[in-house]
Amino acid sequence: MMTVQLMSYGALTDITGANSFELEISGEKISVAELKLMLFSQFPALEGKTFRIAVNQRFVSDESDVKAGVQIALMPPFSGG
Amino acid sequence: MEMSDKKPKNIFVDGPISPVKIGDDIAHHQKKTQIGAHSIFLGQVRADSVDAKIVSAIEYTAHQEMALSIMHEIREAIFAKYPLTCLHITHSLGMVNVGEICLFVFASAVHRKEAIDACEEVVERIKKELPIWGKEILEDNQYQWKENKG
Repeated sequence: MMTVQLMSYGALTDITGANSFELEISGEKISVAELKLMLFSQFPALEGKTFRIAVNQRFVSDESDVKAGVQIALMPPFSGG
Repeated sequence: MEMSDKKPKNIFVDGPISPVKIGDDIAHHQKKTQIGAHSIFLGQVRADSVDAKIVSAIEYTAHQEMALSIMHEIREAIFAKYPLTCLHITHSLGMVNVGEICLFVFASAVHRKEAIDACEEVVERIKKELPIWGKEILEDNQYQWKENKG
């Protein structure tokens, strides 16, 4: 088992409730694609939303690995300025 | 020429950007006498209409660390592309009421063209690339998440 920290931003906080939460994951690493499936199962409204994922402040692709202790940010399209 | 710093600068302030700060920042550049042109962009919160409800404020949130590190990369790229004397960026966090200033970009150069072009490019990149989100607060405490157009 491992625990990863997630932060959600913008409109995604309406779906995840808290803007900071944790996920318990079995195994020592999963792919970003697998992480997304877990998120969709926990928060069905996320599926179909446009958002990018950053791991330790770097944008990652679906093939990237997520390991214990990383910080994951779920970020919808930006709207600053 | 002043080179950009190596360490990311903070760009965020709580609440609106005061017109007094904008005036003071202009005054502080009077001693930099090699400057011949300043180009300034001011973003102001607009009273948009959403389903017959009027926006009264925008509440800004950001992934601050990421925003500052991306802004640092943008600064480096802008200084490499344009011969600027200096470049200052301020963006609001938290509540900014309609009519108040939420973004201040201040580019200075020897001549006007590079100041104007750099200022425009920085504004476009801030809107596209910085992880900042605006929540439009409507009358009667409803809200909708802002979307940047083109």
